[in-house]
Amino acid sequence: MIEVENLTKRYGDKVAVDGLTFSVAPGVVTGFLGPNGAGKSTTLRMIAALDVPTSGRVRVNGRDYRSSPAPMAELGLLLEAKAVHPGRSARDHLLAIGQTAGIGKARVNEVIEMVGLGDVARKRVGGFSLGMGQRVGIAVALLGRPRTVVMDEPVNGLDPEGVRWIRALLRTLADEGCTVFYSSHLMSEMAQTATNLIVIGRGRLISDSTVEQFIAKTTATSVVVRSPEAARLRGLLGRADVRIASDGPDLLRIDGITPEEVGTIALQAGVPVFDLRVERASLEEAFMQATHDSVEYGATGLENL
Amino acid sequence: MPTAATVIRPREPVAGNLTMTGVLRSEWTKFRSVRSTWWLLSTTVILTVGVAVFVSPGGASGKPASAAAFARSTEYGSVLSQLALLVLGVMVFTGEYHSGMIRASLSVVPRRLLLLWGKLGAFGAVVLALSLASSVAAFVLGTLVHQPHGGRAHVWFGDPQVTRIVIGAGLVLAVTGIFGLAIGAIIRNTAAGLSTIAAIFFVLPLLLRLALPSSDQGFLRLMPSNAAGALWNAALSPTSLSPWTGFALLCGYTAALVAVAAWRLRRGDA
Repeated sequence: MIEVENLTKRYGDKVAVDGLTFSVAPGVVTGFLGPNGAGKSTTLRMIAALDVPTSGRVRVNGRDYRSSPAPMAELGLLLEAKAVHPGRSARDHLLAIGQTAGIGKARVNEVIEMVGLGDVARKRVGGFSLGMGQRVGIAVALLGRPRTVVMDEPVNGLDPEGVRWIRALLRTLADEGCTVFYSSHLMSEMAQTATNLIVIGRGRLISDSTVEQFIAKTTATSVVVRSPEAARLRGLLGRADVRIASDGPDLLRIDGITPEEVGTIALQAGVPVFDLRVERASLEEAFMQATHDSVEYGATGLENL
Repeated sequence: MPTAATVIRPREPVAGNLTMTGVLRSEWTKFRSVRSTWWLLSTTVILTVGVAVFVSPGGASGKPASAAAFARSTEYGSVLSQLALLVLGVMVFTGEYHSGMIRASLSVVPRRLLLLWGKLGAFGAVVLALSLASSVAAFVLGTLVHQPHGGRAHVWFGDPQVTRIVIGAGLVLAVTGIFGLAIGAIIRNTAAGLSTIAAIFFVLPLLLRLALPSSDQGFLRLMPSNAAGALWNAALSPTSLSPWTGFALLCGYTAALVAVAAWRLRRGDA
């Protein structure tokens, strides 16, 4: 369980996080989305008590993380890939982290095998690829078998195999009762993994709901029809609350109407219909829709390419 | 009462409480598992002992030196090895800031001062043991190599001056290392930390000596480098502080820096 209450972080006169309030429940995977510079990483660092909030507070499993007697049993954290001294082996890195909580070599070896670093655990981390470094970070997060897991961009640098592995890992943790909170910019990936979703922009909360609710409420669901008499059908459907666009000579995209109505109207008028389907927006489209006003670092177009 | 939906399937706990002992062990693991540690520790021993063995005491004059002067001459190498331990001390913290590991470290040690005490304890214990061992070894080997040729009175530990010089050189070496650690914790950047150390210990004393009129040079003895020398190398400078006053001043500087490091570690963002 993570509870964030009125959390604010200012750097000088720039507000990175602005009065955020949300909570992350145990037993489900919760995604954390926002454009670059929205304050995601700052929020995650404040959850782990690494950054000090300007105001507001965070509780992890019901308490201030700093006062936790056994921090490693409470929170597992992945912030940045390869935050390891390059001259140290992965095994020594994990051992050093674990020893603070009395975790010994047996558990370290177990976690190393689990993340698939068995063959390279004694090599210096400096020579690791981004994906291998990421696995070291994931191993650190899982080392103490924590009740809450927080990860910033865990799939960064992983190959498709690794991405699938992370997805299964996060789901399994949630099924076991863990609180799982992670950010990602790969939205199709997040749509497949997360159940709940927190979206922020410019440090403020934009949405706190399930992934499905988020997509449904931020974008319209369209009905797509293919018909050789598209123009005639278009005329039949003309109503004030219905918006129709042509996607091709025989293709209509219709908002504000159910597929049942379209099918019935077409049948009554004798218009042949070859394809009639509902198109839901992807999470990516919903995200673009929800955050286009709060993009901090937007590119300005490709005219000067 | 948790509802059925929120009952957590218990998992075998593996992580115990955060303890000082745990942090000390963790810091020892970090310290021993990078190569630079062993390079710099070997350099310390080799310089301290090597100068005693290979550099003849008493200079070219061949005059019989006093027991204290002879003992001092066996410890000259520690002035050089101070540099190695300062560098090692600085890197204890800056190494973590450079790689970003500091955030991994502090995320499992959210009571941040424990991390400072852990580093201080692990580094301090190793460096103190090693410094004392090498200053004693330097004296013993220096005596064995050079004493028979000098025709002087036998110089050994019974002389309180000699004991102070030999043990003192080791103590000063260890405290200098901790001085470096505190600088690293405050400055957080290796290059800037090493430059600061170089400025404090080598550049500033030299500049002040050149720049100030000789009547105003009394306060030079308050410089950390000269305070450090007072305990064992006092004869180099007639205006030096008394041995233990000098050492106390060095310890005071170091404690003040550690206090600043603790304040800085505790209050800000990691």
